[in-house]
Amino acid sequence: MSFVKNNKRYLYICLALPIALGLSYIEIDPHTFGFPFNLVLCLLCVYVSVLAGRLSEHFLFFSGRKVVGIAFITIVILMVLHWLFYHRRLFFCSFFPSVSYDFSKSALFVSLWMLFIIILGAVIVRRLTLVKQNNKWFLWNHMGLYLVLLTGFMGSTDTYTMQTILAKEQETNFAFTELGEAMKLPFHLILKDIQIQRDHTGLTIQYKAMVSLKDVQKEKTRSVAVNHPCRFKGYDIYVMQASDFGCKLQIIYDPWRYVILFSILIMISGAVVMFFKGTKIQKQDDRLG
Amino acid sequence: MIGWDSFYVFAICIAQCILSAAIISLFKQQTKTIHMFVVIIQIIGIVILSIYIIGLSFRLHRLPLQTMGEIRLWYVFFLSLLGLIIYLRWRYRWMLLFTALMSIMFMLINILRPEIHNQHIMPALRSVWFVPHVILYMFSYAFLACSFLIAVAGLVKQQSAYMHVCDHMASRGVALFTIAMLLGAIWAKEAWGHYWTWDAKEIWAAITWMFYLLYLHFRNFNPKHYIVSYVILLLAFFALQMCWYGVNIFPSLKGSLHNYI
Repeated sequence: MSFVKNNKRYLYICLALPIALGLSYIEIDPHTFGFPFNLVLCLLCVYVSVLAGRLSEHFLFFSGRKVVGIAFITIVILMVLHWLFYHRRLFFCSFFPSVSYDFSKSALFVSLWMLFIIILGAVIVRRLTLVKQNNKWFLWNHMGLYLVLLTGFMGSTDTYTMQTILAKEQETNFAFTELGEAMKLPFHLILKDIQIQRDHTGLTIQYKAMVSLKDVQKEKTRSVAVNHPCRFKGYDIYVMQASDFGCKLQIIYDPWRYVILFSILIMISGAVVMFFKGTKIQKQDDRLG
Repeated sequence: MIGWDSFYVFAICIAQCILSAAIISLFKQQTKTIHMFVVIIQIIGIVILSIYIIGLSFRLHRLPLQTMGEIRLWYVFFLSLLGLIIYLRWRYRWMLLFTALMSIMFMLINILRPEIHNQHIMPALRSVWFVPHVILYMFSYAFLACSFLIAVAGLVKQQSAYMHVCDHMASRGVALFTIAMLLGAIWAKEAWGHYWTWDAKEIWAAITWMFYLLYLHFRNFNPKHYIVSYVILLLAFFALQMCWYGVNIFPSLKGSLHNYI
């Protein structure tokens, strides 16, 4: 028993490793958590964060510096692991799953992402309730990151990415997901024209597709170019490739687009302030994380 | 008429101004007059470059934002301008030298490789986000490289005296790195439809960012453990090298959205 007591930390690691490996092989379809489940999950995360933040005085796991340390080390390991999966062909091929495997959709990635959100939330709650001074920009920066991570996760569950290839004057109201699943669009797409600008060597330097978008009420002709997508009925239309005869269009339904953008802007503003003010080593009483 | 054929004349004038400003800013005795003189000649350099850019815009009947040569003009403009702002704000004397050398390098490329004046950039790079994204990364790399060098010195001498400067440089570098990364995310949404796609470059950018955040948090919680802090800074800088050019050696970058680098 004394061996177990003395080596508790290492035993936890030994136990966690096979669980982590097992979880990394389970692939999760993000759309499983689509609306309204993502909203429920989000509220649950916030609730657990508040609870963890308040309990952090009593439970060592949720207390200050240890939590931040664990969270960061976990994330760095996770990233390195993700990167290893990215380059799996260079390492032990048989050890890693098939080529089509996407680590960012694995249960391990999703669960650690959620854990990080909860810990970050707990840190914010703890700081909010216990520290009364020097709080403003700390909270602003951490809240920005919290929102980016949370809305990023929620956004990915509701986002649909589809593609379609159209020839000139061709019309469609279907597009295909990455898995080849056909999805019906709430409007018709007609490719009216393609304008390709080439340099003196014949290399494509810019291309633009003129697309007619039609639903029961209205019809509009819009141009779609790289870096200049067009938006219609909540769908963003991007031109991915173009030739003289047709083009590949990407249609994205992302209802969280502006929420995520808002979160990013909060983070940017926090970083701007951090640039001018810098970070200060906090006083002992303020070091609650 | 201002055009590429007269660029070398402007480049010599600009180089003279910004290099003089950089060298004078390194003088040990910094009186108010010397400081003013540095600022004025740096501004003169920026004004000459602005005149060239405006003249070129009139000649081309558009903003010069379409070829690699034209983009490099904006690099020089923002490097000099931000270098001046940082010098005015914190009096980092090395900053003007860094921006001057980088600017001169970009202008030299434009002079020595005239073929790039007509070499168009790929469609995805034709964006208003391109220049701020790259410039902010350059500045963040400069701050973070400086923190790395100071950390090496601190580690070799086993002294905690350098910690304060390391914190100062790292926090500024991380702030710029964060802004550049997030501007890149906004640009990615505009160009490809997703804020973040987890490609090799992005994964390493995230790893680097997390390492520097780990440093800042570690310093906050353990201000006395300076050796560990120095080591974290060294590891973070290694991650930065992987992010910057290390990923280019791996074959998976070929499928990446960042393979134009």
